[in-house]
Amino acid sequence: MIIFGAVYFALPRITGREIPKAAKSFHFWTSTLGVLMLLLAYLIGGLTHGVLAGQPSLPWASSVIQSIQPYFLITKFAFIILAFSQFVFVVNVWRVIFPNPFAFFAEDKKEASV
Amino acid sequence: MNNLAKFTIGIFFTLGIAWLAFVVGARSQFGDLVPTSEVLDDDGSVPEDAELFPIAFSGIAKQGAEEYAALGCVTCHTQQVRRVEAGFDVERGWGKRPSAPRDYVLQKHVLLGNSRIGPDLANVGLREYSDEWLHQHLFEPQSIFPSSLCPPSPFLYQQIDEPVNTDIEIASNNDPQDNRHVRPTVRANRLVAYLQALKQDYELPEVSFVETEDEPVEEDVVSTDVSVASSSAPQWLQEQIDTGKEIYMKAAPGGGMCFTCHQQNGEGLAGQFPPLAGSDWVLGNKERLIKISMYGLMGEIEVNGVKYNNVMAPPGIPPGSLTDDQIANVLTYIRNDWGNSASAVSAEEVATVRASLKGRAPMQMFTAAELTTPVQ
Repeated sequence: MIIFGAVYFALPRITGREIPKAAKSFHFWTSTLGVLMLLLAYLIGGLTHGVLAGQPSLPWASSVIQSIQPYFLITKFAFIILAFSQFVFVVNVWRVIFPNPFAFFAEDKKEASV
Repeated sequence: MNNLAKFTIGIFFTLGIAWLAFVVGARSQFGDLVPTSEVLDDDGSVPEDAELFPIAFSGIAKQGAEEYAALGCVTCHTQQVRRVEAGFDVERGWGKRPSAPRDYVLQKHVLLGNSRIGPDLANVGLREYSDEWLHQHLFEPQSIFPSSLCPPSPFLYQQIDEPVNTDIEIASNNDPQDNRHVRPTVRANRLVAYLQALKQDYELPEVSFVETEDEPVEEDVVSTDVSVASSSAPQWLQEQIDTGKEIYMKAAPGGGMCFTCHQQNGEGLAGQFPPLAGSDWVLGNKERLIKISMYGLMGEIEVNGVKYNNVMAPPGIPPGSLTDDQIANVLTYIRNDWGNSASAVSAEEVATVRASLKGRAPMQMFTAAELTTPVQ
């Protein structure tokens, strides 16, 4: 998160091009959602796991692990959201560094036509 | 330039503190540990001729450790029994004592792990799993524990169409006809040798065995016995026994509540409830057993030469509600646990007996005399 902040602060000043606010806040909110989901699932699931595992009369696979499987599912979703959010980040950065990715080819074409 | 100097010093300072804490500190705590004897002499020296622990792994087990690391088992399995005050590890039967740093000094890579999605494996070699069981578990964990999250590793095995007797039969969960035969590759054999070598069955001067009050009652332990037997018992029988056991132990609709009188160990209660373990009734005629399971039993009965006089209500909640399948399963279970070994009871046999008793009023309990005299 610190790195994201630093990049969003520094990049526009280095390149002189602004990142759209909507793109930044989209990245921020999807990251926040992913991290929150991950945090809550791991926190609640972990505590549940600990409490259940602490009862030796409960069988391991069919009871302890079975009952925390929903949390595993939530973490999977959270990781998908996070991955998507980081993809948005990469796109944001990319668009600031290379505002016109086809410019290079365009120049090539000009030279070729001359 | 002044800032660069500050920056460099800061970096060195930060890394230096980390190095002191994680390298120097750990080295001074654990670096000099060597194998030692279980008990030291009074002056703190190792007695002569004493066996030294821990023992180094055999060569194949060392290779197995590499496989274990390569397959990522360490993601879900720890190899450390925690201290008694920190948790439940010893009660769960994961070890006889907490692990100590000295246990790991001879291992090239210490695969402690940090997440317990699977059970702890520090003492998996002590749990008396057979090699076949471990192979079957590696090939397809869900064939043993249906709800296991452990990913199957079929790539460690060759599927064989014409098996020889060293090949391993993987029982299918659904269809006994669908059993597969596989031949372990060298990787699988290394891994199993490694797992069998994982045991902390010795005491160290700094840590001794924990006295547990009673044996842990646990699915994994139960399944061990069952699965060792499963090399001889076919899958369908195993399933009957397993579901039968559930019915035996269950005190809710669909269960038989049998254990409340006959006890979990099948020994009954002296003078009140007859035993099932080793009982001549249980191991004898199936028809009598089926009748008792449907209608209950009252009055005097002689079991293994001892007379009992009590009432057994028809099993089930509500009484007499067990289906043909449930009766077959629970009878198969009591005929095949606690050292008992007798033929299975099928639902068809139960249905035949039920049909033959069509005229009998519900809840009319049998007497022992009625069951022992042949019906005309």
